[in-house]
Amino acid sequence: MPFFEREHTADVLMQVCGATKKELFEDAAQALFSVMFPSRAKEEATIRFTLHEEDGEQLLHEFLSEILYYAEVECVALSRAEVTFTSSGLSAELFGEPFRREKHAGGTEVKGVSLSGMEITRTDEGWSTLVLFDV
Amino acid sequence: MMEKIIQKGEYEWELPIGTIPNMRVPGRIYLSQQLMGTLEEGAVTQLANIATLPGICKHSLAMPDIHWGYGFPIGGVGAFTMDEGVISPGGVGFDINCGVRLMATPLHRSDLGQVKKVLQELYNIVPTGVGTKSRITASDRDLNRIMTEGARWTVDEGYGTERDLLWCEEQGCIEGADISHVSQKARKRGRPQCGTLGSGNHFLEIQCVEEIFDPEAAQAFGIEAGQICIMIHCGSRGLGHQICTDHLKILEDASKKYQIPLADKQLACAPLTSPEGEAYLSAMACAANYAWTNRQMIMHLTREVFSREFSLSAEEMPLVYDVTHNVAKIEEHIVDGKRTMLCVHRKGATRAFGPGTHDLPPGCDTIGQPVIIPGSMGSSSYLLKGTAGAMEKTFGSTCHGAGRVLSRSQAKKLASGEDIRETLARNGITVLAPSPGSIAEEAPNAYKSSDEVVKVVHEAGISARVARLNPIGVIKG
Repeated sequence: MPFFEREHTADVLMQVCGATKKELFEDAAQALFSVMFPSRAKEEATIRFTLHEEDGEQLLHEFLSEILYYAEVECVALSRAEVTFTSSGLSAELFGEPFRREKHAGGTEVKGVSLSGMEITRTDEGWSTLVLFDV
Repeated sequence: MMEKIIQKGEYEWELPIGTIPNMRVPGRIYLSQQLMGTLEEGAVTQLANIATLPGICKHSLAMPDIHWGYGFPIGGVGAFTMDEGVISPGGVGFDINCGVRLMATPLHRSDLGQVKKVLQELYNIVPTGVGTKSRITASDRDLNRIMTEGARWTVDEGYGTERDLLWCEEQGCIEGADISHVSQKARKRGRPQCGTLGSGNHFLEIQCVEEIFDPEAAQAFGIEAGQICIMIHCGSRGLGHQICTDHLKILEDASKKYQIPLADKQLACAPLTSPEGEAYLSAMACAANYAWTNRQMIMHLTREVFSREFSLSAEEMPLVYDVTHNVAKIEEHIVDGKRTMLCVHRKGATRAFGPGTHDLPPGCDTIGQPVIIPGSMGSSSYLLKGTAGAMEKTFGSTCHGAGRVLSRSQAKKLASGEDIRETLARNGITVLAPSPGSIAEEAPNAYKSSDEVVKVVHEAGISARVARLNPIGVIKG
């Protein structure tokens, strides 16, 4: 299970796991898409961005925050992310389709990604972290 | 943790220093015995965490709608001294100046006719839900004025009256907004969204005044029994969310720079006197001013519908008041007998200034500030007034709503949106929403009883009941 929701009263708390750090980041993005877009978007449009950040949690925080920014200003419903780590941070490719109310409404608007509880740790299966989305 | 809480009065409880390491002051919780059962350990830990921050004054405070959030708990208040204290986006939230406004009409229930028709008109005109854009796209120049002048911009542009500004916390504008601390990303998100409701717990409700508790205050606030009012709940949209995100990163680095140990990374902060702290405060003011403009724009759209349907003028639909419940503000308070400037963080808490304080609307000097407490969907909302007790005990603060007890996923498991819509319809409440899921998440039983929460703040003396309003039509974001 790449991610599952844990109980949180006010917001959406996700436990995210990945065999590699790349998977962990991609799964965290998937967790975010599952909150925002209940029906899976087609992969018709692509958004690319790069980030320069060394710290693991800060990089994950910035990556997810950047997704929120692009989803809103480009008005796309997203379904998948691909991450490539670089020497100075990461480059990301997001896949989705133009947001249409009749298909994509009903999701939850995520206001922000909290740093609260975010800690990337090594597990027997790979990597794990909590991610809290303010909704 | 929970066993350390000490009862200090019928509605006051204390979390002593030492509950967690490095607490500088005790925590204080306003709750009834009945609501103690809803108190979560996560929320109490977050209240204790506030008490570890430098410059915290007297107590970290929790209102009776306290629940587990991030950084501060929801319903959390923390006041910090200007010389030693800090400012933290964790004490404000991503939705800077999320707040509520109440607009009166001269209509009574029988004048309204079919609620569904009016509600549908409002739903058609007020952009609601994820992915919606405003009817106007603000130019860069407009956005600069919105961020620095707040609701004043809407009045100058013909979207409101001079009177609207007088009946709004801070007259719809916090001073000190500096647009140089707002990123291009925040601006890009803000331009098309001014005048949109958003989603989640945001709403527009048609309500009816059911009960008057304080006739003198109700008269001063322009409220009478049987009257139809409109309540609008929303915030600073993507602009505020982005400002929080941008400055969280800066303040996380600043916490390390100034060697401030953090019990929770979302409490990232900087001294109020530092360039990083000042930058966040001035950017936060930009978002707060945007939020007041946003609510004013939505009220303007509401007035358009009511003008068309019932031939009413804007003057016949006055703003009762507008409060913010996610903000940090520099205010003067009496601490140990001395006038002291403090930075008061209210996260899911409302200002409730008592009689004789500053920033009261016209004719309210002996009454106190109007305070608006939205209930959960389908339950009563309240109009309160600020009190001297709030000035003494809570830095002029009270609760902000009912307060969640169930997570959104738990709420969805208990009942479907369609079932809730039908139940509410049987109780005379019509609901319109972009999807049934957004109704289920905000199910009435996902929240504490607003009656009980308001009873606590009333009995504890940190605000006083003026009127109770019941919903008859709800637009969910």
